[in-house]
Amino acid sequence: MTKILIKNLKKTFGSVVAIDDLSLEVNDKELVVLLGPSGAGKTTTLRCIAGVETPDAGEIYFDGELINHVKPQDRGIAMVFQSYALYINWSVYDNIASPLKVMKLPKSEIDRRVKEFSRKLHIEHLLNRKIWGLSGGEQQRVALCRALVKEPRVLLLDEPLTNLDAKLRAEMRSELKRLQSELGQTTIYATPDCVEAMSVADRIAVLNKGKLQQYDTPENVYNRPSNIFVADFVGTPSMNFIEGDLLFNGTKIFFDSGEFRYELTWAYDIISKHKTDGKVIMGIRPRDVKIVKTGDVGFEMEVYGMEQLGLENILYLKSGNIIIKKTVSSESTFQMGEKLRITFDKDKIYLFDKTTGKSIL
Amino acid sequence: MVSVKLENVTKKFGNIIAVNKLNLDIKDGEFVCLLGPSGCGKTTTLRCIAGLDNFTEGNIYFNGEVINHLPPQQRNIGMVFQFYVVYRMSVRENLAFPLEIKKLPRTEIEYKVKEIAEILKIDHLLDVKATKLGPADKQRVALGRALVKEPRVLLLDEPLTNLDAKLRAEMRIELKKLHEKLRTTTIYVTHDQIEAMSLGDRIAVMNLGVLQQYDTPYNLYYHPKNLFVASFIGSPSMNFIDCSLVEKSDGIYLDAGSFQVKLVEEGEFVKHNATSSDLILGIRPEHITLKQNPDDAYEAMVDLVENIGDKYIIHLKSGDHIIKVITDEKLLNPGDKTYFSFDRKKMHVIDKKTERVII
Amino acid sequence: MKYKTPFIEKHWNKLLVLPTVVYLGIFAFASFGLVVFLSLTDISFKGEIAGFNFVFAKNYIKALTDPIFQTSLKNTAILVCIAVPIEMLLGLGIALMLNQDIKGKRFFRSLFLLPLMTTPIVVGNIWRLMYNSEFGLINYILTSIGILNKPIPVLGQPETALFGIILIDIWEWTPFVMLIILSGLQALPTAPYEAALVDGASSLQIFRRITLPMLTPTLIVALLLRLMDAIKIFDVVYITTFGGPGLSTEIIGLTIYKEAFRKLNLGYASALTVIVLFVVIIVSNIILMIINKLTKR
Repeated sequence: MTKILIKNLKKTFGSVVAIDDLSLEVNDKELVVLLGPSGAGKTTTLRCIAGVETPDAGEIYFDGELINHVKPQDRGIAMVFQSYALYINWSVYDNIASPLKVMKLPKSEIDRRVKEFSRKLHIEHLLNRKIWGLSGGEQQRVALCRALVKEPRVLLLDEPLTNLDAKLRAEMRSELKRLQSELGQTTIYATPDCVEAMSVADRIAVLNKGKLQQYDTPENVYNRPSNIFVADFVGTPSMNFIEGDLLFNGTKIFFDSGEFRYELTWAYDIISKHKTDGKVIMGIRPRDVKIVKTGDVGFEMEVYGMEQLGLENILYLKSGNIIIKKTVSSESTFQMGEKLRITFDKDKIYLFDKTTGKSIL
Repeated sequence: MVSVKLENVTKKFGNIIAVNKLNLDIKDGEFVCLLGPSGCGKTTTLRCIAGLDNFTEGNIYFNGEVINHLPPQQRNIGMVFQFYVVYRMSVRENLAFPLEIKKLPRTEIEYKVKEIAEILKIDHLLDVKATKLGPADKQRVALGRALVKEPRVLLLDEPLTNLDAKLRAEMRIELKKLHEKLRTTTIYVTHDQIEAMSLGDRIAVMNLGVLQQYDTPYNLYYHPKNLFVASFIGSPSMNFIDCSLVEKSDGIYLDAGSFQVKLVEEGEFVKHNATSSDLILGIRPEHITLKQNPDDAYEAMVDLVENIGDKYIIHLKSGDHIIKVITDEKLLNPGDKTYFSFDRKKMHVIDKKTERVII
Repeated sequence: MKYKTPFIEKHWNKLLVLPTVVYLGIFAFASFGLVVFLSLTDISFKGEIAGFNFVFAKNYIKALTDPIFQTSLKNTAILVCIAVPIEMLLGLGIALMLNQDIKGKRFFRSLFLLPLMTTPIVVGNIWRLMYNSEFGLINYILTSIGILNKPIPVLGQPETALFGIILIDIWEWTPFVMLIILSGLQALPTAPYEAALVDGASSLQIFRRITLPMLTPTLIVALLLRLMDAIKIFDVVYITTFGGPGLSTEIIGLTIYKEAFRKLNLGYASALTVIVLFVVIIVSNIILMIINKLTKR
C-alpha cells in the first residue's frame, strides 16, 4: 500500500478558508481519521487527496511521488461517499464490477475480484439483486466493496456510516476496522463522530475550521489533548470545563473558580513554566469526578438532574453558576437537590489557558 | 395537558402494514418515546396522532375523547419535524404565526413570543430571518413555534437526528429541562436508543409496526421481554450466544459449544418454559468480567480491541462466538489468551424460536 | 496546479455548444441585425426590388404618427392587460385544484390541456363558427337560456370584436399558465404545509402566507412568458377577423404583417418590428422591477 504526505495544504472558497496550512503524514497500512465538526475541512481535504478539488497551495505525495498534477482517475485511489452514490438500477455485481470495467481488466479477473471482495463483505448472496431493494447497511457494504475491489493505493471514506441507524453504525464500525487491518489498506476516514474515530483509527487528525488541532493516537488525543477544542470535542460525555484564575501564594498554586478552590501545588513546576495571564479553564472528564464522604477534601455541590443512558447514568451537579457532569452507575439513585461533596481525580485534571486554549497541564 | 390513548391503531399502505394494532397509554404530562429502527412505524404513528395521515382502523383518544376525525388544525397539537421546518419569515414572525392564526390580541402575542424566546434562549435572534440560522437554532425556533400555543400534546419527529453529536447532547438536556418546566404531554420519535433512554419517562419499542415493549428505560434495559428489545436497547449491544439446553446428571446446563454454563436455581424454570432446547444466552458487555485464570471462568482469545474514549470494547472469540466485553483499561491485545466469567444474576435466557425472554 | 490536457478535453464543453451557437447566431442574431438594418431603409417589394435608400430614422418618425400603428398598439395593450391577468388567475385556480388528491385528476389535467394542444388555426376556425350569430353555439345557448334577447354577432361588430378575441386567447392560453404553475406547485416542499396545518392555519391562510411566497418565482416565469407571447398574438386574429371590423381588432402583429407582405413596405415593417421589440423589453423589465420591490420585505 501507500504512504501519504500532505504539505502545507491550503484551500479557500471565496472568502471562506476551508483548509489552512495543513500538513499530515499517513503511514503505509495506517487508518487515519480526519475528525472535526461540519465545516472543519474534512471533506475538502479528502477531495484534494482524491484530485477532484485543486488546492490553492501545498503538495501531496504518494510514496514520495508528487501527485498534484495527476488526474483523479490515475491516482489509484478509491472513494466511498456519504450517500454511497450507487447505480440504483444495476445489480450489485454490476456496481462492484464497474470500476474494474473502466480499468479494462479481463473478464475473468473482474469476476474473481468481485467474488472475493463480496465474500469478505458478506454480500455474496446479494450479487444478483438490484440496489434499490437493499437496506441501508447492505448498500453501504456494496459501496465499500466497489471501492476495495480496485485494490487502491489509498482508500478515502467520507462519513460512510452517517446514514445508518445507530445500532448498525456500531456493528459496521468494527467490521470496517477488521477489514482494514486484514487487507492492510491505507485509509483516510472523515467523520464528525468522535466515538467512531476513536474506535477505528490508528491515528486521529483533529480539525477545526481548516486548521489541524492535534494529530496523534486515539489514546493520546483522549488523554493528552493539546488544546481546549480537542478536549471538548473528543469524548462522550464531553469534558467538564470550569473557568477560573490561578492564584500564586508563595510556593503554592491554587485554582480559584469563585465557588471553590483547588490546590495545584504538586504541579507547580509545570504550570510556572507557562506564560499565562492567570486566566485558565480547568477540565475534568465526567468519569474522573469523585464523590467523597464529608471531610475537609472537596467542596459541596447540589444534584441538578440525572440522565439515564442504560450502561451508566449522568449526574448533573450544580454550584452557583457551575454545572458539572459525573458518570454514575445505572443502578444508583439520587434525589434532586441532594447535597454531595465533590472532588476531582488529581491525575486527570487538565488546565487550559483561557486566551490561547492551549493545554497547560 | 392531556392524556393520549391509542386503541388498536392500524395503518396500511396498500398491502404493507405500517402500524399493526398499536395500543398505547400515555399519561398526562408524560414524556414518551417511540423507539425503533427505520421502517418500524414510529413516524407513521406520530403522523396519525397529529392527523397528517389517516389510519385504517382503531381509535385515538385525547383525554378520553375520540379525535379520529379531527383535522390537525383542530387537535391543538404542536409538532417539530426532522428537518427544521421554519417559515421564510423572521424568528418573531415564525413564533407569532400560530397565535395570529388563533387571532389573539397583539399584546398577548408579543408577550407569549417573548416568553418562549427567552425560555429557548433565542430572544436575541427575534428579528433574524429564520432560514438564515444554523440547524440547532432553527430547531429551537421550530420548537418555540410548537410550544408557543401551549398545545395539549407536543409531537417530535427525530428532531435531533440531523445535528452534530455535540449539539445533540446539548439539545437533549435542554429538551429535558424544558419538559420538567412545562410538563407538556410529549411524544418523541427516535431511532437512537441513547436519546430515548435519556429523555423518556417510558419508551415504546417498535419493530415492523408491532409494539415490542412499553416500559421505563430501567425495565427495558434490565428486564427486556424479547430478543428484539434486548438487542436494540443498550450500547454497546447485548451479547447473544447460541446454546442448547442440556440435562446432565448434576444439573441443567446451557451448552454453548466452547463452554457451558450451569443453571442453578433457574434451571427448572427455564426447562419448563422453553419451547425447545434451542436457546440464546444474553449478557451485556458490562456484566462480563475478565480474569487471569480459568477458575470458574471460560477461555477465549482476544480478536479485536476497540477504544471508545474512556472505555475499551474487547471482542473475544470463543469457539464460534464473538463476545464483547467492556473494560476501563486496555489490558489485552489482539491474539492474547484470556478468561471471562459473567454475573449470573444479570444473565438472560431467550427462547430461540419464540424470541421471548425466559429469565 | 492545472493538469496538462489536450485542447479538445480542455474545451469540450464549449465545443459541444458550438453547433447551437452557430445556429442561433445565423437565425436569431443575424436575422435581427438584418431587420434593424432594413428598418433604416425604405426597401419595398413593389414590382421588383424597387427602391433601396437609407432613410435612417424616417421610418421610426412615420411610425410615431401613423394612426393605424397607434390603434394597433392600443388594441394590443387592451388585449394583453385584460387577457393575461385573467389567464394568470384562472391558471392559478385550476392548478391549485388539480394539485389536490381528487379522483380523476389525470383525466381533468389532460382535458384542460386540450386547448393548448390544438393548432391556433383550428382554434380560430372553431371559435369563428361558435361566435356566428346565425348558427353559432354561443349565441344559440345564450338566447335559449334567456340571457340574450337576440344573437350578438360578436366578431362582426367593432364594439365586441376585440373582446371576442380576448376570450379566445384566454381559452387557448390559460392551460399554459396552469401547466407552469402546476409543475411549480408540485416542486414545493411539503414540510411547511404540514407545519402550518399543525399550527392551525386554514387553507386560505396557508395559501396566502406559505404557498404564495414560495410560488412567486414560478408565477413570475409564467407571467413573463405569457406577456411576451400575448404581445405577439397573430394567428387567431388572422383567421377570425383579420383586424376587422374596421380596425377594432388590429393588433401589432397583424399591422406588421400587412405592411410587410400586403403593402410590401419591408423597411417600414422592420422599423415597426424593432419598436415592438423595445416595447416588450421595457414592459418586462418594469414588471420585474415591480415584482422585485413587492417581494422584498
